[in-house]
Amino acid sequence: MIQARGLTKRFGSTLAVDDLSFVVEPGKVTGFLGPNGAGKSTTLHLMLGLIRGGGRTLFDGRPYRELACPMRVVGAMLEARALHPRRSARDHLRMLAAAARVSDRRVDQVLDQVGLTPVAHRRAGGFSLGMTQRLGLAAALLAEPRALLLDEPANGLDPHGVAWLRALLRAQAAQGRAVLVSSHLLAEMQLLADHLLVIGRGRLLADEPTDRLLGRSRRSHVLVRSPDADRLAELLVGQGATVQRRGAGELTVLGISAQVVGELAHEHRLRLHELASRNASLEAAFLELVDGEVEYLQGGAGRQ
Amino acid sequence: MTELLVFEWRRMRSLRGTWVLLWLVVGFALLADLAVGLGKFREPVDAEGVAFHVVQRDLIVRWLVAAAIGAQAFGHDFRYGTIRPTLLAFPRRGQVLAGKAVASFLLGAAALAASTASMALLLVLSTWDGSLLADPRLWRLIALGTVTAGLVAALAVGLAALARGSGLAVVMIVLWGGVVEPLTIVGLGGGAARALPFLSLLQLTAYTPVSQDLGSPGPLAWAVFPLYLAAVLTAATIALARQDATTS
Repeated sequence: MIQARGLTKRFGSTLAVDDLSFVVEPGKVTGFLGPNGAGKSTTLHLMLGLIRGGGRTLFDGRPYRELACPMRVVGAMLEARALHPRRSARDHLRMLAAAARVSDRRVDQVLDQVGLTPVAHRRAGGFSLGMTQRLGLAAALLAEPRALLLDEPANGLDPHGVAWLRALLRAQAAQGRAVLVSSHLLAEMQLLADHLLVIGRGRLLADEPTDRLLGRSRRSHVLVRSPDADRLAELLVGQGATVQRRGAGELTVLGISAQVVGELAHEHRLRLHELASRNASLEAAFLELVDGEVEYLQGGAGRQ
Repeated sequence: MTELLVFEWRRMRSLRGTWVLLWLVVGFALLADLAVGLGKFREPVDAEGVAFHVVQRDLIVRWLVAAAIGAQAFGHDFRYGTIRPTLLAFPRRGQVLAGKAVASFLLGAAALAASTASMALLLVLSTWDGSLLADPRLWRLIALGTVTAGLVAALAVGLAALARGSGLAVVMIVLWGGVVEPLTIVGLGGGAARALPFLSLLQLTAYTPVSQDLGSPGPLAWAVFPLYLAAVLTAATIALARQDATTS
């Protein structure tokens, strides 16, 4: 488990991370979302002690700096390009293997796992972004850590690679690992994450399960088709819902769940031909959440 | 510490630059031998001549190579952003500095030992006189010379951590050893060499006190350079602890 408490980072007069507290549970993939400049990468760096700031993060109850063999507890991929361009992929991992106290055999295993065996002896400087990302993932997985912290791991991956990454991270979570993934690929995060942390301007805007966040969106609604639509609409408005008429006998209901609509119809013996929840996309939910929290926006509307 | 030293060794050995520097120091010694000694190999040479030939003649060049080796330890990390993977693997920054200093000390010393061995071998092969190397004082100087290269490499590690780059660290060493200290001697006289780090090292590696016109080393000459080194490494530790792990 990862526990972050009161993380704060200031760059001059700019408060990049503002008293962030959250927990990343084992066995789940937790998505870490925010607009550009929201403080996602800064937060990850703070958690690992790479930059100085306020607050503390505990990994299995201990700060990163106090872990006896940190790579066995936390596998991190912050910047995949942080490697020497003239060092081969295998040499890069062998170097880290010394720190993690793992064998060369594990190095070869993990190269195979990320699909880099054919280029293991090639210099990393000649790698594409996707290959570099895979090498960064290999480094994070090398010591079979109990938690993973990944900053934009899908960057540069092709669609096959993204699907592979999704399966990999889900498998890691299924094995009981705590997985924290920052990403701006919202459609991908909707498929991947069990839980979401959303930040804007360094502040925590949401910390809840993905389904609940999507359900809370103004764009989530219940679609109803009924020959008694007029009567049902009156009843729903009476329950505090917002009802929009879309056509003959068709209603779009906001602010109330499909379950409540069904029970209400049943109670008043009204016929239903269709009753369906339509969750908003993560993109829609995200944009609602971060509205006004965007650091950099076209046209100078954001805070510069 | 063992993991850190293995980590550093694998880091250094996986870069071509390290091997280029090692071959450079050996190659320079051999080429200098050929250039300087051409036609003179069969002339009689005394113990002091052997010591000068094997230890002191190219000492400055070998220190420079050792400095480059040491400076790379942090220089590459800051230049390519590998300081972050390094600190993720070893989050205690003082420990990282110590590991890099020890690893660079060993490699710098090894570079000097390799060049010394090649020069000694060439001397023996060209004179067919193995007794030239029988003087115990010579072996003491070889050991001291080897240690001095390691110390210079460790100093470069500290300077590179402070400068967050390797180029500036080497330039600082060149300016200090090649300009500041000679000018200090000109201004204050040869006695000042006892308090100056690089000149005190030169005094220690001289066969006789007068052999380099630097005067005799003071009773604490062996402590001068280590004191400077300790100061630089302490400053580097504080700087590393207080700074964010960003690239240069």
